[in-house]
Amino acid sequence: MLFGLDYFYAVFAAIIYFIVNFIENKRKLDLKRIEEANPELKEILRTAKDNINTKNLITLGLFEQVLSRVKDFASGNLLNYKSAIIKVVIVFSLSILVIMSGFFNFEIVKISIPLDKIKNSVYDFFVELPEIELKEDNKIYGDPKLIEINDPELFLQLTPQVSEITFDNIKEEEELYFSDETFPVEVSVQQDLISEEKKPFESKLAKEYNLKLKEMI
Amino acid sequence: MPREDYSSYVHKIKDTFDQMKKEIHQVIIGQDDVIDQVLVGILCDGNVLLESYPGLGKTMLCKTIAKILDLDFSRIQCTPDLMPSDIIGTYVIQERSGKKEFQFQKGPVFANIVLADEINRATPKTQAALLEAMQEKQVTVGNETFELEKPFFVLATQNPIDMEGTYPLPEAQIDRFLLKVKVDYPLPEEEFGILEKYTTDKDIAKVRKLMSGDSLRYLQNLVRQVPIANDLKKRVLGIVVSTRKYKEWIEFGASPRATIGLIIAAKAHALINGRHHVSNTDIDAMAYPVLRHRIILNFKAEKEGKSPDEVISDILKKIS
Repeated sequence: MLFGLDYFYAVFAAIIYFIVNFIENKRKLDLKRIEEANPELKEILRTAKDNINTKNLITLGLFEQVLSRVKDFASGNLLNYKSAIIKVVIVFSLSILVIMSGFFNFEIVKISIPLDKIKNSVYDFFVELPEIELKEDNKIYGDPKLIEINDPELFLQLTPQVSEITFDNIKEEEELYFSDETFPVEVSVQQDLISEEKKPFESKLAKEYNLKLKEMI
Repeated sequence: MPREDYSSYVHKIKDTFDQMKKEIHQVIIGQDDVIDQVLVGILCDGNVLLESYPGLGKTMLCKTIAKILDLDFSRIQCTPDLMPSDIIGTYVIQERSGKKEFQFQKGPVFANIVLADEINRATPKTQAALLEAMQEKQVTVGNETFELEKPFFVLATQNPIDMEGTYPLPEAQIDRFLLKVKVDYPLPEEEFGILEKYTTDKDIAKVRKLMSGDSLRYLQNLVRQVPIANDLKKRVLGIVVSTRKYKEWIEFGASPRATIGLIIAAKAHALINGRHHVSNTDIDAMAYPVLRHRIILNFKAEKEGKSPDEVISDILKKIS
């Protein structure tokens, strides 16, 4: 979405634009309005209509003039080319932008319509809520101190249990002797996957360095 | 005529009038609206009253148009002692084969274009003599009526200042003028052009004859065939009726003759501008010259210095 807007709003806006545009174009194409906009044309047509049965040199010339105008007339005469070209250019640009926004996954403007807030404010405006009377009776409403904590934000911190050290399960110490045979070929460190997330960057770098060094040996 | 020619016909008419305007501009610099309105008046077969301060080229414009149209032109300089017979003509005794008989001597009104210069200086009696000629296109002397040769129209001029010793045209007579054209001072750049033209060459540019009287008469008939939409007819009617109801500024409104005049003038304006139909532009353009002399403003308007053109503007805005 180009504006990060839900498609529903775009469809709604398009329907409104279509209706307004349709009414406006219908109004513009009204013949009476065309006549009003072209007083000369109106005079010619009205004169021709009122003198349709008169046959003389001048009226015949007038009829000929009307006919030649009718021949020259095309539906394109009613089009406003400038506005049509502007519309086409805008539509083309918007289409390109929409395609590009999908391709590169960007938004020009993030428009978020807080529907809940609007709904609540409309509801508050139209629906009058009865006033709640608070009573200092903890049997009915609970501890009165809890009322005060409804506003501040609560922060909860969860600590992973896996890396916790438990002192209950301690084994006896054992001695290990390393010889050439028994010395482990690969010495590696098993890391705690969860705690790895929290290791600083330098530790990772040191690990990589050690691994490289081992490979070289 | 092939079908293709119908629509191009009006464009040919426009081209002809464009040529005429170009030719008039050889003599008259600027004053485009005035030239347009005078040509509309002529095309409508109507009479035109030109009003301006002295020295703005009214008489020269009328003469130039007469030359371009290849029509008979006569000029009457109106003065308080000008008699009706000086305009219409009179019977004179002439001797023919030993007999003396009365023969009608035609006056200057027997022309296609009559320029009545400073018409408001003539007495009401003389002004009235022009009435029949302007409206009926005929004159009556004694018991005899003489038809005037068509096309016939009167271009009259009057001066709005120096009103002493003048006889303002009565309403009945002023209504017979289809248009009242106001000639304003030229723009500075136009006046510079006038300066250049008339201070270097002694001879005034000659103009070509572009249209005959018959062609003009044909076009005058064609003007009435220009179609107009019913909506626009109603608008014209609304404008003229409003002048009668707009009591805030107007005492008396325009007559139905104004309604007819406005539609015909709008048709001619459309034709000159190469249109096959009347448009609102034509009506708006012709409402001022058609109505400005036909509305009488009330005392409140006079007191507040409101001009007829401002009142017409208000009405046009209301009835759009």
